Amino acid sequence: MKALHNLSIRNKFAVIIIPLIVIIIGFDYFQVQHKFTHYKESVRLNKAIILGIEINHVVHELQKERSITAGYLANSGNKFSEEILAQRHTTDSTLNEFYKEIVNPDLAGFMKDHDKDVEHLKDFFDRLLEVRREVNELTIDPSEAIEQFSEINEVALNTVNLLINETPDKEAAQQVHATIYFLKAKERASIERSLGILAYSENVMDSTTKVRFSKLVAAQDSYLDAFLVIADQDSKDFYRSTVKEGEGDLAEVARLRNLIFGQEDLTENAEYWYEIKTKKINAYKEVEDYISNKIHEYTENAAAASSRDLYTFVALDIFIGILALVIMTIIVRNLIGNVKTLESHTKKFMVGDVSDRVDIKTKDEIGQYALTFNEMADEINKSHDALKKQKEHAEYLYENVIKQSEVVFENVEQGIFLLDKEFKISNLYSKAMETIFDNKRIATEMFSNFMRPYIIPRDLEALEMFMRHLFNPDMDEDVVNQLNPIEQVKIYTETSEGINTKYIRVAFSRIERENEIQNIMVTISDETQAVLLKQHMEEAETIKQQETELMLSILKIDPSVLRGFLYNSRKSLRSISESYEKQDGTNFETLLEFTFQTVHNIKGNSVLIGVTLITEKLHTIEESISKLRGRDMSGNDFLTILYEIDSVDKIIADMQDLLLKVADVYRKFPSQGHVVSNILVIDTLERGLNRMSKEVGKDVNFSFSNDKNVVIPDHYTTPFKDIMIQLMRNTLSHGIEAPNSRVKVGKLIRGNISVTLDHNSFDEMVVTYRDDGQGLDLKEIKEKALLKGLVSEMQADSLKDDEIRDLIFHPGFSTSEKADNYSGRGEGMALVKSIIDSKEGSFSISSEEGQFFEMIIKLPLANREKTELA
Amino acid sequence: MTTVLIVDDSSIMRRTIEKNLTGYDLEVIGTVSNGVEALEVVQEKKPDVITLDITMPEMDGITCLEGIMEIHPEAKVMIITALSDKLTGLLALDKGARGFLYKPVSAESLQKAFDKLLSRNV
Repeated sequence: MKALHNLSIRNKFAVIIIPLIVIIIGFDYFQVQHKFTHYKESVRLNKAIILGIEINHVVHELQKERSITAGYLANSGNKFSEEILAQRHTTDSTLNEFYKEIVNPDLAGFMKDHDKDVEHLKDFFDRLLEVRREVNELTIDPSEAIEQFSEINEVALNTVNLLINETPDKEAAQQVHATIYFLKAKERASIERSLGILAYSENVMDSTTKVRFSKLVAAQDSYLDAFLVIADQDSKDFYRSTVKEGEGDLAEVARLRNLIFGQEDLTENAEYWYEIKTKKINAYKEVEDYISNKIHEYTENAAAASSRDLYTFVALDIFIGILALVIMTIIVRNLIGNVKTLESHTKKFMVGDVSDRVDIKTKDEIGQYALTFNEMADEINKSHDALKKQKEHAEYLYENVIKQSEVVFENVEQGIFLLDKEFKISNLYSKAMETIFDNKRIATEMFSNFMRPYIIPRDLEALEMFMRHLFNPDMDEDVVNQLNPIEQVKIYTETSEGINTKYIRVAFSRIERENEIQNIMVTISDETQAVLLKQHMEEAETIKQQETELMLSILKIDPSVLRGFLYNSRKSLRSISESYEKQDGTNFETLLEFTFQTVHNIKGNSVLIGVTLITEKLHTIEESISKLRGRDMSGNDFLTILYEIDSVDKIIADMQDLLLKVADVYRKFPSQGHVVSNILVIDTLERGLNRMSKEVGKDVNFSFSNDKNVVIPDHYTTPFKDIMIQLMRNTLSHGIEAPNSRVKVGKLIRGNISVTLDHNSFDEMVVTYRDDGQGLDLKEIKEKALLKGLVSEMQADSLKDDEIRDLIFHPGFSTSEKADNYSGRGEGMALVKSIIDSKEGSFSISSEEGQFFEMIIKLPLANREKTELA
Repeated sequence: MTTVLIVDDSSIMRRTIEKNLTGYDLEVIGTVSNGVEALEVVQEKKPDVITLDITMPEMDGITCLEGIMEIHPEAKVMIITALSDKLTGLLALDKGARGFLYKPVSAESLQKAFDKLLSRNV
């Protein structure tokens, strides 16, 4: 079954059609064979009839010759001698016809089948010559002669019977039988004639012949009856109209026959009998010819009909066969062709030739299918076109997006790329990456590997950890991003020009899709320019601030005061390095103390005149020295100090330069220098005090009086300021009480410092400094001095108040625990004393506990020339 | 109500954090000044949220965090530190911290960080 299903359509048709064709051809073959047999039989019968008729003609003449021969013999040759010759001639001519016929080529095939029968007949016909010789010699008995002729005729009639009696055609067979019966009846009639001739010739009939005669008549009648039973109506009618019993000659025959039966007066002439009887036999002959012809005609028609039938059938058969083949071929070819067409178009369509259409014109199912196929193809084409358009549009959009992103990635200033879950850099990254890192191996690199050459290992370790947390969906992005280790980082890139320092900012943000972290977008900006600019600006700002401060200091401060300060400061600072150079490097402690005092002194002055920049620098140096104190020092340690001092020296040098420029301005616009310098000095002091009092959180008033208009000479402005500043510092630290303490003792919250300038008769400048603080606490001074080991306990007990007061001028004495810019480290009063001493001046102090502190300083004005400054 | 433990060696910092968390549907169940005390409180009270300083005497924040995670792994720990070293911060995340804040903290930044910490069911 499966094999049948799998056959191609062509083979399926073959499987259906070939058995049908075989069956039809087989059926046809039998039909043709049958018709051909029938035709051949008809032809054979026809030929047998023709030959039979010829034999019958011979038989008829032999019958006549037999009768005449009987008469001739019975009359011993006296009668019928003429008739016998004539009759023999006629008989021979019919025999000749017969011999002619059997060699007729038309009968060749037929004769082959019946050769034996015909040969047998010819043998008997040959006997005739012997019989005729005996008759001529009158050596044969008339009965014997009749017997001989009858034997020949019997064989002849039997032969006819053999020839025509085998036919499958029922109608023909019936006619043939009727004819044979009739022929046999006629033969009996003919023998009856011969016997009659004998009887009438001898005028008597013996009893043997009489019996024979009766039998003949009876046989004759029964054959006629049989003929009339089976013959067709036409033949019967013809017989009845031709042979009319009881009428005319036939009635005479009956009378003559009855005479023979009665053996009575057989006087009638034998010739008369022959004549009358022959008439009857001739009528029979007429009937015989009629029915013979009829059969002949019938068989001829039958042969023609069967021949026609055969050829018509064959022709029709071939015609229908060819027609069927042609139609079948057309249909099958059309079907297979259509199927093939469909198949090939479907294949074409399948491989993408969507414009292809099937052209099948038949209106059958395949045609319908082709129409459906074309409709489907149209639909597919439509949707195909729509899809194509959409695809083109999508491609256009995609390309546009790609192009735009490429343009963006090509031109954006930031480094942008994506990190995948393995921390690898995406294939697509912005061009800026290459510029920022001077590196082209970026795509698909592990980001940490990529960053390795640029950042420190600790940051690298942190970066790896950081990326892991970024990809951890349990971690909040903002929380993780706070820990970005390379948020702002300094990187070093190597270029052909050397190592390049860059500052970059790296930002990370998650890219989530379907609630899953797909990538991390990394944005890197090069902030080098901005950072450098900021640094430059900060530096510039610092420089500007310094310069401004310097400028302000210069403008604020009396130029002569400032000039003196700068000159002295430089000189003092240089003395430090000179001392260092003089040192053999063993006694650093002394050198350090010396340095400290010098620096501290300059600092005091700088505070007073308000050169903050220098104050701060000097304070830093003091801090450094403090750290070195009490430690084993080396030259190197000291060099650091010297280096710092040098930087201060430079600032001072800068200020001197500036000052010269300012001095130029002053020269151009001269004024009463001293007055101006006084005002500037006092202003400087007041400002200094304000600043200092704010620092310590005490409110102090400054009053200055100069009733005699004492002008502070240039060479005293600096010492004056130095002294004042130290005193003010002490007042603020130790003198002026805390506000609540002042309220308790009934003082104003606001403290007061007064400075008075005077000129005495000894040509001395008298400076009176006084505050309304708590005065000197002698007990505390004494305790401190003891603590610092300035005096022994023994000495302390015996000290008078004045002597205790003097302890504050001792180097190393300090009542303040903490060191700052304004209160001393116990160097303050020692410094004041040393300045006054250096100017050959004098001083006195007085104080009342809880009320005031006063110091009167006298400086000689006479030796101004000696100490004139630059 | 969500319970909070504040761990910081600076009393000012402790007070600042506590002050900024009041009126915020959180219950501060303790403020301690070092890691050892912190572990005791965690063991005893199992607070939902712990703010943890990194630099502390006796026991540093990372060691303390490890201890907390061992005793009470469900705790949401927020690191609040002045330490600018990112590696230590990342290490804290590694050890199980879920929030991170730099000092000094403002009321706003603290509340934002708490919102974030509590809204995430981690």
